[in-house]
Amino acid sequence: MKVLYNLLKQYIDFDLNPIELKETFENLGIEVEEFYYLAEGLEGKVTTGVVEEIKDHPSTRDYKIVRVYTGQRTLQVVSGAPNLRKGIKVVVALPGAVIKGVRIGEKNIKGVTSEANILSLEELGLEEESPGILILDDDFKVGESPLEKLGLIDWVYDLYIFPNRPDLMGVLGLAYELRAVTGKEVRMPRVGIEEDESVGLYPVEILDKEGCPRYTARIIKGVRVKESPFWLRRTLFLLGQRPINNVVDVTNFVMLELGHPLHAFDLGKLKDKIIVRRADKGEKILCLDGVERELSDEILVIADAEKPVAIAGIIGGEDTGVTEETEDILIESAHFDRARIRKGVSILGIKTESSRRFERGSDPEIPPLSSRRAAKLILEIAGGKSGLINDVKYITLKDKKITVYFDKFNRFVGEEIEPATVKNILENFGFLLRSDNEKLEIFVPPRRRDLEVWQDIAEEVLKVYGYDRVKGKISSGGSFTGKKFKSAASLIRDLATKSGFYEIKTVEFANPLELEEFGFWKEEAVPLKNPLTQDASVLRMSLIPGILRFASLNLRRGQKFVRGFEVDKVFFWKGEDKLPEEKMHFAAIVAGHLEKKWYNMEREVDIYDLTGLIEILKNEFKLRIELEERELKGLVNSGIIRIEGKDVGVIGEIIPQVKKYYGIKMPCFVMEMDISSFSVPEKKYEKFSLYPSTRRDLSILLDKDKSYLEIKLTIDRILPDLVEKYEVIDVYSGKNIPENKKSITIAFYIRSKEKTLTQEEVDAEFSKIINAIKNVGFEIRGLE
Amino acid sequence: MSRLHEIELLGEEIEKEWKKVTSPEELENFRIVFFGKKGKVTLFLKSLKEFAPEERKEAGRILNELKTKYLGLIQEKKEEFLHKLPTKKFDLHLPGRVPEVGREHPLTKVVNEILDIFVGLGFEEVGGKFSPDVEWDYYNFEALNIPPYHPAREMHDTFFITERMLLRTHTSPVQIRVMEKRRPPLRIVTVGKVYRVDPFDASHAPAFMQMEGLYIDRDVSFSELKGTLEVFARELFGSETQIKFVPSYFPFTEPSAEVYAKLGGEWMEILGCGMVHPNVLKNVGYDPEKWSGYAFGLGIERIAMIKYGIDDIRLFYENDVRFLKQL
Repeated sequence: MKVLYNLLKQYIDFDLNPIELKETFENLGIEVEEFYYLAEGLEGKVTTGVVEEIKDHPSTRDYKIVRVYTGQRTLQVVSGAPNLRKGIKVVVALPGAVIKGVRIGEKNIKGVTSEANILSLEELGLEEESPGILILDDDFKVGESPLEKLGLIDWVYDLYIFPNRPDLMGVLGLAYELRAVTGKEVRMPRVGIEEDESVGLYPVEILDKEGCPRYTARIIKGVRVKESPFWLRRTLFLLGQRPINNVVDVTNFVMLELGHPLHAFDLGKLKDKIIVRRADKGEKILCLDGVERELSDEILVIADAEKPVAIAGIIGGEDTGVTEETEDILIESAHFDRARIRKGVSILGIKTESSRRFERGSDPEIPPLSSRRAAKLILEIAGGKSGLINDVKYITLKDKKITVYFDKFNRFVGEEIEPATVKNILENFGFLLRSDNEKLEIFVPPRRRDLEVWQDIAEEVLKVYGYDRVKGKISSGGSFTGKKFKSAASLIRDLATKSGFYEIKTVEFANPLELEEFGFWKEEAVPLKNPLTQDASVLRMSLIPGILRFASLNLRRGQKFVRGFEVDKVFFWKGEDKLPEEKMHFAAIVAGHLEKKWYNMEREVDIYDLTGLIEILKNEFKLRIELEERELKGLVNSGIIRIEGKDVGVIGEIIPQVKKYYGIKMPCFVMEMDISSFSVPEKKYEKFSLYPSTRRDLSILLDKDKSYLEIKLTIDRILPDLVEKYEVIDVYSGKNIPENKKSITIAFYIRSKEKTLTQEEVDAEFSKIINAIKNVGFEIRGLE
Repeated sequence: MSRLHEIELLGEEIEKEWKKVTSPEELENFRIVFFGKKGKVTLFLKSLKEFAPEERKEAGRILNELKTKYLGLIQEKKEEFLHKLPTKKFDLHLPGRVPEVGREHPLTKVVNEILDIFVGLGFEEVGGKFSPDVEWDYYNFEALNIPPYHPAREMHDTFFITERMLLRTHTSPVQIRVMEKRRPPLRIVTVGKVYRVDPFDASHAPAFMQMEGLYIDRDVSFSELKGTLEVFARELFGSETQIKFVPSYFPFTEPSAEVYAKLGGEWMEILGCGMVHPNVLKNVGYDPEKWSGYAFGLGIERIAMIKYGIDDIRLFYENDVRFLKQL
């Protein structure tokens, strides 16, 4: 909602300069989205001139050479304007003026110097498109600045009005709001008109009384429809409306002034009467924007005896619109149910200045006033004779009573505000009050339907009193102990980052095709009704596509090695009657190769970079996590991750085809697991041994294609108590080893919690392991 | 050659090798070669019984003398090495071995930083079942005093899944879910993703993070709301930070306010808040005559952007490690 400083000042004579007014708006919670001075860049740089001479340009017919006298000197201007005439007064912009964002200076146009510019309304920012320069009337004096008379010494405020305040979508409403802060009187617009009974009363029939509780119709006969006067065109243009003709412009102006949208029909095109009713299904109407719309029975229309002539509160019909041929008009000023209008807006998908106001709720008391105001202006501007208003209403709203108890109010605010102060503020809002020592009864007029409970009143008071005048206090509430939500996700974040992985965050939208690539079922995805794009049309079921994008982006941007992970939600569809299942997943990726350092060898990433992370999880969460080889879609070297026998995730190397899709050229390994069942284990101190430990190494030969798993299972099965831990310290094939074999060397750490073990005791433990390994048929290569 | 002569030669060899010992490694090697389990002296001692009887005694004496003497020397030498300063030279200017660690996402850091402040103020973090991303219309709107066709819905450009099911547009439904399950008083915070139909640009994202706080008790005041959020803002942005409260509108709070902090000479909006609307309390079965409270919500990305001077929200979701590394 836009408003002009000087326009507003016509309704309330406040003592605020333009900047103070902006601050006042902001302190009232009215956000100023844009604020600018109309004469910015023009002040001191434009003057009024008179055209003394017009000559042809020597080298082009598109331009003339004009001599303009500005009171002190005569300037030479090269101009292409079609409406130049000798003797006219024009606006002359001197070098240094900023016109539509461009600073002008002396210039040379096809060999002739132009010392200034002659401006059009468009260049002055007062019209969308000008056919020629602006010709000033006799009020303007040569050598004087024309800015004041053109209304350019003014400021535009573009205000964001919250949806609960339709009353602020008009200048008068803003004036009421400013009255509350400034205490100044509001000046009502002039509405005195002569009404002539002989003009006639137009019949109105309301069929949907809920959708339209009040409808007024007024006939004005004998109007002369033409272009509006300058002040009206200028005002509408600056407030964001396109001037059309004087009648339509007046209805629009009254909407901006009173916040209440009106409509004008060409009376001659209406058949018999106005009927306010629901549209019939399939009924059509050609609207003022040139679009034909099909209606449904949820949509309220204004119809005549034959057909809809307007979509109520949203947009008028083209056929009954006011044109230059129109002689008699019908002014509609009505009150519509906001939910009905909003329904229409959502079905039809259109929003207009009118619907924006009606869907927020208009004042049911205002129609007669706005009708009179429109009639007043039309009679002044377009002439004609007004009939009486036909006011059909099924609603009577009384002022609503809200009671505020001072004691409760003060406890709510947290400090005492004097009852007199409270009363004074509310009086300035224009509310009637009744009070005694303990309470205040406020009678809220229908234009402030947003005020319903006493807390609403508290806000009004605090707004004016000043939010910042209330002192901040810390809640005592000693019974509360703050704590963080102990989640597995945060422990995993901690572990993974310490292990060298970067945490990433991706958005939850996914491409169903990409999910299929990893074996997910489309049917299980949660679909969006209104996705931004088709490749983001479902919620993700896997974090892998997102994490592949992370690797791809970084590798393409020059990283040689990336390690990353994400812990976040994935979603599975459970039907329309249940919310989707939301699972917490953990996914990690390694890609590329570790570069050579003076102390490190270069190497490619491999799956062990990920299984190491699993080892860490295993230890920290005290879980039995196992891996099992399994062929999986999109992966090689792949396996499933199991916890206590349950499949919880996958691990593997991305296949070339998928890598290509994501633009990854280097080796790339991923894993993903469901951590919904993980819980942060309670930790307890465990006593550790203070006695020395002895290490014994064992090298075992096995077939090259055999897994270490069998050895591990064998060891775990018989693992003697005194073996504190064991580690694979070498995997070797090559010299001294048969071609088809590999050697795995394991270091065993043997230690007692009770004493220092003798050589013999250590040997005894170690030989248990050796025997077990031999028993399952493995060949021992060496001992130490 | 007699065995005795062999032993004499061994003695000479030992003497010669002993002189070459200059490092702990060489010392250990020396010990193993001559006196280890399979060492030369050890083997000779084990084989004494194979010696001619007349040589046996003499050989035994010599070998044992060697053993005693050198084991003693070895021990001495060991001590000596132990106290000797290391001879290996290092270049302090070569780049050191830097352990490769990862980092938490900047948003995770900011969340934790903010959470710590509120936890310090007695707020309990809730999540999990209280905080689904996919919500019913009821929790996202209706229970929060935004009935169907309420114009405030226009402030929330919503992703719908079905007519009644949607991606939550704010974390405020968590307020309802917690109040439905718990009795007052309560003081909670929650963090989660929220969604708006907004294509990515420098200042918009279709999914972003929000934190929500709620305090319900007897006689909770606007002044406490102010006090709490002032503490929060000063903890986060510095104790000298100027803060102001400006009236605003949220259907589920009354009065409502936006909080601004003056940062780098400019007033920046940092969060929205207000006193819980009595209709919201009624909707969860709390008696608004008995209980009152305040609620607040803030955008994590926005706070992170203000705090770290980040000019493009997309950086958070693009995950360039050069970005992730910085914060």
